[in-house]
Amino acid sequence: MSMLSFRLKGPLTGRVDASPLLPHRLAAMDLTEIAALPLRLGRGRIAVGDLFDLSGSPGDTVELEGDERLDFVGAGLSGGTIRVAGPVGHRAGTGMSGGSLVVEGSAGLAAGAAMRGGVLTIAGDAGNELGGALPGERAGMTGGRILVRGSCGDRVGERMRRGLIAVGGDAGAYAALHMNAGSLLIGGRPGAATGHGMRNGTVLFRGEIDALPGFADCGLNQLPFLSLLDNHLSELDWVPPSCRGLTGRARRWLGDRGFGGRGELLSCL
Amino acid sequence: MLLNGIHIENTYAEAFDMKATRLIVTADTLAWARHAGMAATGFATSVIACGCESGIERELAPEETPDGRPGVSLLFFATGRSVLGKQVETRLGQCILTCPGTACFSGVPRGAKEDLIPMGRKLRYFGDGQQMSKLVGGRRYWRIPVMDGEFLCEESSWSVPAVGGGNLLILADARMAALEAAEAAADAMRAVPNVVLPFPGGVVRSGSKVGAKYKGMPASTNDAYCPTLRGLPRSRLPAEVESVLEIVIDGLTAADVAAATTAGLKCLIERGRGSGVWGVTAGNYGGKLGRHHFHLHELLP
Amino acid sequence: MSDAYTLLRGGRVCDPTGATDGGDLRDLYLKDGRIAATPPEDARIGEVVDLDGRIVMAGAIDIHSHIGGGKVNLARLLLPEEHREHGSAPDGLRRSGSGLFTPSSFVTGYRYAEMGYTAAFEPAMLPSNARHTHLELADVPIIDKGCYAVLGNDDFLLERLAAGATQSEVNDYVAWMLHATQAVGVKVVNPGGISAFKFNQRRLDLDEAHPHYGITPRRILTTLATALSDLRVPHPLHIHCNNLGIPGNESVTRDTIAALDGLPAHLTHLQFHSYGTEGDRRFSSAAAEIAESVNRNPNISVDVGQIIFGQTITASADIMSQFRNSGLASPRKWVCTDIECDGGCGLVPFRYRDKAFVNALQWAIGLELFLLIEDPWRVYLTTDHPNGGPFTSYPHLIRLLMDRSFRNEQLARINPDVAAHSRLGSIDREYTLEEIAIMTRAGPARVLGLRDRGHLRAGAVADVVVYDDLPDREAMFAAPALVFKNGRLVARNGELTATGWGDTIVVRPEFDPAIERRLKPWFEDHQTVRLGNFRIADGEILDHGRGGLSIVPTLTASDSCF
Repeated sequence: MSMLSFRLKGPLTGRVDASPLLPHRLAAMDLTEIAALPLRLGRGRIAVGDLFDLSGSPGDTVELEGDERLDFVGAGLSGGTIRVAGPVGHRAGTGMSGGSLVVEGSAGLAAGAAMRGGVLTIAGDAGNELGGALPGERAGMTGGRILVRGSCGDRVGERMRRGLIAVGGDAGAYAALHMNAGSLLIGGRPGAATGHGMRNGTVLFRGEIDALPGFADCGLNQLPFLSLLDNHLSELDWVPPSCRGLTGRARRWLGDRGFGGRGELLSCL
Repeated sequence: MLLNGIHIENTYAEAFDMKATRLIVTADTLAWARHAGMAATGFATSVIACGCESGIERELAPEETPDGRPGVSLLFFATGRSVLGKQVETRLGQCILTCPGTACFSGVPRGAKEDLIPMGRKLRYFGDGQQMSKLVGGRRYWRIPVMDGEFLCEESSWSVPAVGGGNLLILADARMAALEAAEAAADAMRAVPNVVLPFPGGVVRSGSKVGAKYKGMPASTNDAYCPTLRGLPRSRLPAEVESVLEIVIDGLTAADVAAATTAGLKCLIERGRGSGVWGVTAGNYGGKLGRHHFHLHELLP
Repeated sequence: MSDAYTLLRGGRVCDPTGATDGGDLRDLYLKDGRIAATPPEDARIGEVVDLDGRIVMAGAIDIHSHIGGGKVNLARLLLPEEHREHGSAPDGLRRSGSGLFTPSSFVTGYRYAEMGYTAAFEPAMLPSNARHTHLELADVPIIDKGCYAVLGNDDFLLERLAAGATQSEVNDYVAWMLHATQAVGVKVVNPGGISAFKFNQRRLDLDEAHPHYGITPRRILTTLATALSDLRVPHPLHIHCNNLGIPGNESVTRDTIAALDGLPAHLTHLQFHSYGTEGDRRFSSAAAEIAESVNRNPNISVDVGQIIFGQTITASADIMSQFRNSGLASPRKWVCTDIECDGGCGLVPFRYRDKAFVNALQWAIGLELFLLIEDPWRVYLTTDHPNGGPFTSYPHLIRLLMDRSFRNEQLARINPDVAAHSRLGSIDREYTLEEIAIMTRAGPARVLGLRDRGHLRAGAVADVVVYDDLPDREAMFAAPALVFKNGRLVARNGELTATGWGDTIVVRPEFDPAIERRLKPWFEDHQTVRLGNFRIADGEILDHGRGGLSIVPTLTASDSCF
């Protein structure tokens, strides 16, 4: 297994579109070709070699030194692994369809938006619109897995249709906004207006919440499904520990009935 | 051949290609999983009139099941995928959905689309729109509201190729001796994975031959092995044999059926002539109907 | 202002208004943004461009193209994937933009200019949406633009007609609207039908009474056509007939022509209104009958609304037909909406498939209309952008009209039943370059009353397009060698070289301002803005020099009305 490393030469002077740095795109190039690749920097362009020191050899793994102005890291990733030492900017892993993106720091806005497959792991916090939808789209995330050790911002899982998001810390407001299906696990506290406009899907967390009026309180229930899900989580790497053990009896709210929805908020005892 | 005083006839059991699937049923307690499993695999001794042949393969500890509860694994065998699908659908709906606290999962790896056996895929309509589907680890599950909570059921299972109709015939001096020998052999054979013995207690007394003197009877009593007829020329029984019992084996592969046959032979031979067993033989139809032949002499322990 | 002339030397000028002497080479002088008469010997000639016998035409004019306003914006919102997939980055010249069949405003201007188009007309400006439309068109660079105000389903007019308003009251109202909305014409969409839709009517024939107001589409049509004729507005009533897209609608279309009884009118996207009900599938071409009706009625001009195979979005004020077609949406999402009960708006994305019988026959019907209507002065090249296809497909369409063998090749590729149901394969006509110049320049200019556009005589706006005479007409018209807008070179070989701002073209007929006494309370009682705020001031369009206003003179007695 060969690995290609990118070390930043110095502080970034603007936002960089790092989406071309995908393992499968780089695998067929040699280091000089990669160094000559243009990246968008602000309104202009800059060659990869002017931004990064390259080492290693192209293969199925890319290692990046992170920066919070490095946008679109792993956007469109379809296979292989990208490991980022440090934070990333916005839209990390947008539209990913496979492979693995590991961010060892925090992520900016819309990480994993419109994701279709693969695994996005964030060791720090994630910004707003984690696993959300691209502007104007009816469907958000349609597959894959997002695991965040820290907390996330507002509108996590917006218009989600399939897949799993597990957030170890707290979630911001409007989690699962207009969710269509899929599962969102919150290890910490869910924020305000969780599940607004939800049509279907599951939001799972611990402890009581003040559910929106569109949700019908269906009381406590013992759901074998929760054990099944927890069993599945036990087989995965990187699952935030606070998202484990969400089994046993859970209070179930059904909604958002204001939108004809029958999604569920499950708060485990 | 005489082993430990027991005649092992140089013949073979003739078995057929079938389609099979495995379901895993869990419940709050093993007893309730067993209730569901017993009901779902009941009236499933022979494809001749039951539609399928099935049985409880084994009991499962909580660590072995997808939802961490005790369970049983069930095997269903039928002549083809579509009839198997129908049988699973009705048995699932009437015997497992109905049983308190159960959940039901596929027990075979994901297969091709043409091998699909619908489970929750059909049963979900019982939820009348209140059912919910979840995709976990690439497999889809349905959650159907029922009066004691929720029935969790995987969307589908898949049929796999299987072998049905392996058998052993136990020839004994007396009825009780035959019964005790059959019980012991059946217990030994059930310990083999991937097989079930579909008849009551794993044992069948009404062994049959193909055809009958009466029109419309596809099979009739295996008169050559009926002790009350042993004076007649067609009888294959020696004078000292007073009772014959058969054990029918359905397994996922020929090797599984062979392993079960060997386990049965081993048990009978170890028990020896002193147990009242005179000999062991096997049923076949001249080798023209079934692709799989299990020669007793080749399967000796 | 420079006192120097720009000389375009030795072009084959193709100007069907008579300034041409056929295939002979001619020099063109440009000065101060206009075509100049041949200057005196001692005049200072600045730049000289050798045309080496290339073909020279006036800038092309698109008479009907949905390029701005509420529904175009909604169309863009409805298809974010189109804009994500077709982005264009900014460069030293261009602003960024996106879109293919609903291009963003800047991209619209660039693409038109690169194709040799120097004016385009937004045909469906709802009066209540006029400010938005003009603001958006202010962001369309280079080309001139104008708008038709949509009337005929507005409750004020319907209520006044039902109350027995006189023709002169309607005339004053129409003129007031033209002024207030800064429009150059009036379009009527499915007369009465859009309003009837809101009263749960799902189709409305020409003589069917409106379920609430009790007046018929015929009455609305003739009243509005008469108003424009009385007001001497050059562009006659721009009519989107009733029952768009319904098999058998050709009878409504022919009845509409008959109802006009000699009044000038422009029937738009005629292809969608030329359907019969013959054959096994109860869907057939009535192009021949419609073309004959147009040929016999010199008061009628048309544009075709040709369909082009591929993905597009249909955008129309005709909410009745758009709601009916919403089930055909591909991808499956659509919008029907309304503002201020002024008209309607429906957006249905659609993919025209060449293997689908209905789409393929629509394609053939459009071409039949082009080829069977004899007078190129009365039939104009449109795809009803984006309804039939994007305006960027015009060069392809021109090749279909000019190249019979290419046309028949395409016909052989589409659904085979169409060749049997259509006479297209047997039509030999090929448009000549001169006829193309008429239908894309001189014709639209004449029917819009643009006296200084669409031709290359002295005094005309110096919108000049130079083409290489390529045998592949699609390549030729897609990337003109040179495009001048107001005398400035803006594109070379289909690539933008300079940008700028065009004029907004308006018409200002005279009227009796007393109509405001009736309108003022109407606005106060029923609209969300007051009359004074509703009216768009010139300054809003001039915007400190970013846009210009060009006022089309009303017709005088000496003008020949066709």
